[in-house]
Order: sequence, then structure tokens, then C-alpha cells
Amino acid sequence: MSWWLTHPPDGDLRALLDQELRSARLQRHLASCAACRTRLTALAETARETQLLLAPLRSEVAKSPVPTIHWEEILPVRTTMLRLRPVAVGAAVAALFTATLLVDPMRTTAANWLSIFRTEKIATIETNPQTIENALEGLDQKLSPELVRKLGGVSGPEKLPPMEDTTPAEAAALVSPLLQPAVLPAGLPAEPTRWGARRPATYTLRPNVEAINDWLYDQGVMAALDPKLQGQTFEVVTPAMVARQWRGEGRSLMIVQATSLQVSGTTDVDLSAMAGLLAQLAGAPASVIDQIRQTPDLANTLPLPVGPEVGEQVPIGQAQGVYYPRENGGALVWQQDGFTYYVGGTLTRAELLAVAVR
Amino acid sequence: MDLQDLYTATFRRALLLLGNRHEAEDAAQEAVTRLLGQGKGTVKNPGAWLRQVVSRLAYDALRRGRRTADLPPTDAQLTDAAAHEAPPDPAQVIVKHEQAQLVRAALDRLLPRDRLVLLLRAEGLSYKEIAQAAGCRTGSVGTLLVRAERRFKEQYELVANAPARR
Repeated sequence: MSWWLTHPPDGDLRALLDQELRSARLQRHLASCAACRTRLTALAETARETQLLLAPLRSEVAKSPVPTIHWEEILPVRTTMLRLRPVAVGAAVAALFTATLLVDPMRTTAANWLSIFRTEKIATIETNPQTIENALEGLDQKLSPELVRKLGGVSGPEKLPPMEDTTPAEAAALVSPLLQPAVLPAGLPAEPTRWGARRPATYTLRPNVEAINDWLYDQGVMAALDPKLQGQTFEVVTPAMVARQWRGEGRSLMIVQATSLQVSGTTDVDLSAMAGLLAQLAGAPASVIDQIRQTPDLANTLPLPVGPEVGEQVPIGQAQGVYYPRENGGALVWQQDGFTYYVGGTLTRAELLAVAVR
Repeated sequence: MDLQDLYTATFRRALLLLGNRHEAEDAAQEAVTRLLGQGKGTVKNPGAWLRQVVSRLAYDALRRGRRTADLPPTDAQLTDAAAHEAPPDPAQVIVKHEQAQLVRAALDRLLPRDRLVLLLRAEGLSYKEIAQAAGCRTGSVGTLLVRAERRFKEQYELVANAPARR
């Protein structure tokens, strides 16, 4: 049996020190293993040193003056602020990969690579938000901006344009036609109480396939990018997005509608393999990687996470969508006619479906 | 504990994690605003709720990339700090501040998650709370902590031994 199968990992020993792990098996092992007792002592010493080093900083912060908070300014903000958080949540669950691009296109090469997806359909992937969060973070940690430059580089705005307040006319110029609620739930005003929009941004990608494949090899990923991509330049235009909010009688409805990613460049590559490769790189579980690989027509498909604790597949007119229940409400996400839709709020599932189905 | 006390604790938590007063103020204000946005009676333990939310906001801010480090302390801060020290020796206060700056410099070189895990543990948070803030499994916290402590120690030694530090 190899060493790592017989001896506990450092993390378990650290948890034992913090009394966060109670394991008779671990205790028995320690009683009989001098090497692990030495490791435990070393970990305890490092923990103690860390506490000592951090002490002056913690003490300084504990005495630091606190800025005055103007409560009268906070309270009105609370009632009038356009709640874009559901948009962020909706986007996060909407797509494992495209969400990365929506959130911050500079943060991963992976996201930029995956921008070649033209998503028109939905494939459901059984996973949970934590897996997605971990996968995105895995990529985030591995792909620093310096590394992205080394791997070929991306040019474009450092941050996506923010979601900003807008007028109905400006919104209609960005995204058209806008989805009109089929049935507006009781208590909400006829017209939106707030309009928001995110303008598109253009990015240019120039992959250095050789450097990328060397790096993938170093990362232990047993796959590589297609050499056909070498020398190609891709231009990606991020989606325009319009958010409308209705509020009234303690209820709220938010409709977000985004255009598709626009990509120019020839991409005669195996997208399933590429997506599987990136998911593998991110540390996604094998079951998720397999599902991505098995998704037919991945180039035109948006992978949405579903599962008992995540979301439920529902038909929305001719389209297939996913319903995500949340505290005091829920949200629907689907794609149709080149748009991604999010309809959510403090409404029942039936009310949301009534809004969505034309 | 009244709202001002909650805000004070929330701001200091954010300041510890972020090391920048402006960002800490933004994060603390956002956390308190969110608390006020919750329905009455929804949040059973506002202190714990704010601790969790501000940790998460600080982590998000760290991952987005941070602004420059904070300004050096004002005379008033040093005097204030000196007033709490025993013995009240200004030289010792300055030495302590220097040490804190070194720690800050070492923390700035860590990955956001390492920094978060390290500081939340130093503040006595449970593995479960740390896992919630860092968005990982509780069972992974021990491993993350070991790695973070190791990297922190390496970075601290680097900055402390650098010939020309600020």
C-alpha cells in the first residue's frame, strides 16, 4: 500500500489540531506512527507561528477607527436599489462556461476559449452550484493574467461594462424585441419600475497553441488543443443585456434578456473535447466532464446545471428551460431565438411560467 | 448589540481581510444594507449573518483584484493605538505597526482563498463558517489551511528579509 493510502493527509491532522475532526482511527494511527506524530507537531508549530505573526495586524485592526455610517443614506438605497443580484445568481447558474465570460471575461483563458460556443439550446448537466463555483475557482486560481498573456493573450476592456440604469428607448436599441410578459402578476404595475442595461464589449483572442498544450501537459491534463487553432484570431463580442424590474405591493419581477455571444473566426474544432478538457483542468468531477462530452451539438448548446437541489427542467412554450426555486420565489432560465432569458422574482412558479410563456 | 456595534465589527472584519479602508467600508456598508433588506425576523443571528456576508464580499473583492495598499496610519491612529498599549511606549507601537505592515505585505502576496482561510481561522471561525465563506467543502478547510500557512510563512520570510522594503 502506498504512503498516502496508509498515512492521514496534512489536512486531517490540521483539523485534528483544531478539534474539528474526531476520528478514533486517526488517533489509533497516531499512537502507532512516530512519523505522523512528528508531522502533527510540525503542523502545530506552524499554526502557532502563524498566530503570533498575525497578532500585531489583528491588534491594529481591532483598534482601527471606524468610518461614520450615514444610516439615512443606506435606508433609501435599500428601497430603491435595482436588485441586480438575482441577475448575477441567474447568470451563475445559467451556464457553467458562458457565465465565466459574463462575470469577467479577462479572468480565464478558458472562458475566452469557450466563447466560441454559440448557444441556442439547453443541455442539462447534473451537478450543483458548489461544483460550478469550485470549477470556476479552480480555473481562476490556475490562470493568472500573466499566464493568460503567455498563452496567447486577450485584448479588450479589462472589465465588462457594468450594468447601469437606462431608459426604455436605449434598452430597446440594445436588445430587440424585448420579451413582453404574457400575464403580469397581480399587484405589479403595468410598466417596469426600473430599467438597466449592460453594453457589449469586444475582445480579441490569439491562442498560442503550443504554449497552451505545454502548460496543459505540466498541469497533468491528458488532452490538448487542436493545432488547427494555431495562428487564428478570434473576435468575441460579449452579450448585450437588458434588465427590467417591476415592483409593487411587496412583490417583484425581474426579466433579463441577453443577446448571444458574437464570435468571428473559423473554428473547425472538436468543441466537446475542448469543453471536457477545460472542465478537467478546472477540477470538475468526472461525471460532469462525461456529461459535457456526451452533449450533442455542444456548439449550439448552453449547459445548465440541474439536480434535486438545484433546478428542475420545465417546458417554456417551444423551448426547454430550467426552473430554480429560491427562498420567497424562484427563477426561470431558457434560451430561444438567439436570446437568453431570465425571469425571476418573489413570485410563484405558476406566475413565473405565466410571465414567460408567450 | 445595536446596529452601530454590528457595523463596527463588520467594518473591522472587512478591514482585516482586505487591508484597505475604502474597500472595507464598501464591503461593510453593502453587508449592512443587505441585512436591512432582509425581512424582519428573517435573520436569527445578525452578528453571525454579517460575519458570513462580509467575509464573502471581501473574498469577492479580493478575487476581482485589489487597489493599492492602505495609507500609513495617521498620528491620531498611532496615538490611539499607543493609548491601548502597555507599556505606552510610542517606539514599541511603531515597531508593532512595522510588523503589521510586513504581515500585510506577505498577505498581499497570497492567493485570495489562502488569505481568507488564514485570517478567518485566526479570528476563530469554525471550519464550517470558513467553508461557507470560501465556497468549499468543510472537509477541505484543513488542507487549505495547511497550504495557506505554509505559503504565508514563505512569503513573510521573503518580505521580512528583503533588503529594501518600504
